Amino acid sequence: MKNEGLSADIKVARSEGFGLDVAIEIASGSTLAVLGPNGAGKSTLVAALVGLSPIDEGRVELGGVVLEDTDQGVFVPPAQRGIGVMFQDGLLFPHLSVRDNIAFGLRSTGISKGDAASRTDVWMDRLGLTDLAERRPAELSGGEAQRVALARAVVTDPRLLILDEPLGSLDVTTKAHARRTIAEFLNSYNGPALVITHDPTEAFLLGDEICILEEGLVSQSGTAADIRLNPQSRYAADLAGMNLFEGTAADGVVDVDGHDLYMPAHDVSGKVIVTFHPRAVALHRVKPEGSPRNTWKTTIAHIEPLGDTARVATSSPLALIAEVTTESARSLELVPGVAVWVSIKATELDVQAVSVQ
Amino acid sequence: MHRARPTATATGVARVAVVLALCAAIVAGCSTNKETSTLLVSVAASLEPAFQEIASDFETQVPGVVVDINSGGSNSLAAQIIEGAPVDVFASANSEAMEDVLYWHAATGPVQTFALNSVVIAVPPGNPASVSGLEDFGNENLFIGLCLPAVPCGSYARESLASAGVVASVDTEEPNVRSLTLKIESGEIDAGIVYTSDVVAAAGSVDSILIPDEHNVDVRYPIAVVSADESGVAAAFVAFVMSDDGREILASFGFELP
Amino acid sequence: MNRRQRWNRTERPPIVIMALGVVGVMFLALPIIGLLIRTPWSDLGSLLADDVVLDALQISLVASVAATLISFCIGVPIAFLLARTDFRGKSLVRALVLLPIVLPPVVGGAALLFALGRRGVVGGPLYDATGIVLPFSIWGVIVAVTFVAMPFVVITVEAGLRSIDGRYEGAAESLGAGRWTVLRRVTIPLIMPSLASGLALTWARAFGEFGATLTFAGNVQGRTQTMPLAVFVALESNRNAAIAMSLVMVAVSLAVLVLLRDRWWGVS
Repeated sequence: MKNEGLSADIKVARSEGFGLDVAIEIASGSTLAVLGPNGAGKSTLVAALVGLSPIDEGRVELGGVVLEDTDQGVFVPPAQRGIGVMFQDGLLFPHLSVRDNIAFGLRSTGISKGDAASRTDVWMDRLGLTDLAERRPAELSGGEAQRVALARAVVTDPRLLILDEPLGSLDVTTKAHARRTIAEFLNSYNGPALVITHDPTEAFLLGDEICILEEGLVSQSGTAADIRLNPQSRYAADLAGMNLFEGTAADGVVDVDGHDLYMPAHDVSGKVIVTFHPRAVALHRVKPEGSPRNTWKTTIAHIEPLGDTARVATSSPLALIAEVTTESARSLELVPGVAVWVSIKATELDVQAVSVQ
Repeated sequence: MHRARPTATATGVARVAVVLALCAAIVAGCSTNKETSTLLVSVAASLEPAFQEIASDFETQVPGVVVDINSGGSNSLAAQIIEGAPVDVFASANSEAMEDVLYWHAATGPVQTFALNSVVIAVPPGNPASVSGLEDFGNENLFIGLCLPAVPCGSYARESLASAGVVASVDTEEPNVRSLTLKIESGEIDAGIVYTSDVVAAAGSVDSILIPDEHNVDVRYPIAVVSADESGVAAAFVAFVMSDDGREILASFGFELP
Repeated sequence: MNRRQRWNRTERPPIVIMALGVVGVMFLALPIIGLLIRTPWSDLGSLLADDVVLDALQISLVASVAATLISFCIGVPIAFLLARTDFRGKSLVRALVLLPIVLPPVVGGAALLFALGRRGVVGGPLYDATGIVLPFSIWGVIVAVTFVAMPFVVITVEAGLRSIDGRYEGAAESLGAGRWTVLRRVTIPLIMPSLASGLALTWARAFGEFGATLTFAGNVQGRTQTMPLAVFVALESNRNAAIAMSLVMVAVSLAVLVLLRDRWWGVS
């Protein structure tokens, strides 16, 4: 049923730069990742959905309730929208303890002290925050603060969950763990969820669908596969069109579905995400000499032009995207079905642990 | 996570303060002129208007001399002199303050009485509370103001009230005649006791009711040179106050003359 | 751990700055030393046991605390108006708020007299209708010291409001908090350092107020005579008593300000 989820059509005019003109739908139990560069209008979108900044034209409906409708003059204030937000930078109240931060929403809506405390305890337990209950945000690590922010956003059982750059302020080592915490939570959450991010890895891992926001407009939306294989803008190609694989790392080698990729370092093991840019992939008609260790033979699945470059999709053993100039595509006579050698320098691979062993 | 920072306003205020301080320093520096000598004359608050005029006449008669008038309560002025303020001439509203100065600080010139005064009841214009005499000062329903007992106008007022056998119901004790006069002018005080000369100086902004001679007081203003006075300018100033020119000015401000 | 804090080195300032700072401290400390040198320590007890001192101390404490409370109730809202709303003539209002800091207190007192005195523009009708007279009563003292002291809390709190991150309040709203809850549980705690220092400054200014009090409220022992007035009166008659009372003022102010500093500003 459509009215179980979120349906929003938002137009915001801004005095400087571009405005925002976005229509999104999120079904209950599914997560939409909004991916876009800085200044694309992501923060404006969050503020408009939450009701913190007014929309100039449009309509926001959540679970069958109209939250805002400029035609009918409906505006539900933020406090009554039932939207849980995990804000960019966390925005944990610096003067309140972890416990009070999490309980803030419950106490503000008039839930009794006892009920609030027990619901807070449940979430602190679930997210491993019980020992930190009396700490102030300044005394937390980035990962801990991020879990507190998540707990604060979800403890009120929101009808819509918005995660605004949920991993933005974390360093690489905590990111993997935090991402898994959020992914697990999103799996169990049965309302509509929105993840705002500028990081394609995050978008691909957390979103069921991805919507790319550029200069206030949706330039493309669809599943991760749709966007990877068929990016429709330079930005989508650059960021969303990254090659991304899940695999298992051990001894400097990542096993991706039975195919070995050599890593630049030996410091990661276990479940990992490997990403590399299509431009990092070189294509050859003959086996390259003095070749990098990541070299194998494959055939071209399809090829498609994108401006003065071409995106070349290869088939098994590892289906990936290579980006080459139109000129070299022509000189190498790259057409579907042709056999080519693929090579990638190990240093071009970005390997991140999915979980801590 | 967040700290209050000083705002642009605070910084702005600080900047303006620095600029003002610099300006003041420059102006002060420029006004130092070797060709003029400056005479610092401390006078009781009640004498200030008259002495401003005397000072400007003296300055025209003796070119090259600048007279600065420092006014306040006689006792405060005496304290300043005793503490070493570089005062040349002291004109007091009571003899005790002058005696203090003489005791602590060798006055160089003789002490002379240059003016006389008496006290009078001052009321707001039109006398709204219908005050008729000293006996009204005991009325608790009226707002009564006097000078502090420690300053001459206050001690004279109490002397006068005591001789009439009145215990005043005082609502405020003012540190000097001027602040008392302000409150009478604005009608906050229904009646107060001030110098006769103050009523003349206030020129119609307060009304007065005479206190009969048997309850009035004999106020004598002493003047003396209190500095080394090597140039003799201070003595010349005192002589000018005692001269006919000086007496004429004092009389025009409501003082009686010895 | 905040990532920004890693770069927040507390470097030693250049030697010139430190030297000037020491000069500044000496400049401020010298008068206090002068006071201590002249203090008649052996007679201190008997000088301070005087009713005049106890009356004046009581009136000063009552009036300065009342002024601080009033400034909290109506001065902090001015700060909110200035920091959080836009209206025509806002710069004029800000100038007006700062005026009592610049105005000679005696002039402020006279102005209060013309406005709120028994024959004043507002005070006159008030007196005719109710018989209430502000001058010559503790209420007059409170009005006078509040007038002079309130701007300090307004400017500090306005600065505080401008410096906090408004997104915290948005976050609180999204969590279901109404405007009052946001104010009480988020905004006020966030501006607490500025609010505390603003109120402390206001209290200190009110405690030391002299000119406006004398001009507007008058001076009678036990009714309107505050510590500064008592010190001034004593300077005319009993120098040692004046010094002893000044010492009490210094002690009370230091005690209050140091105590509040430890409590509110936090020692880090």
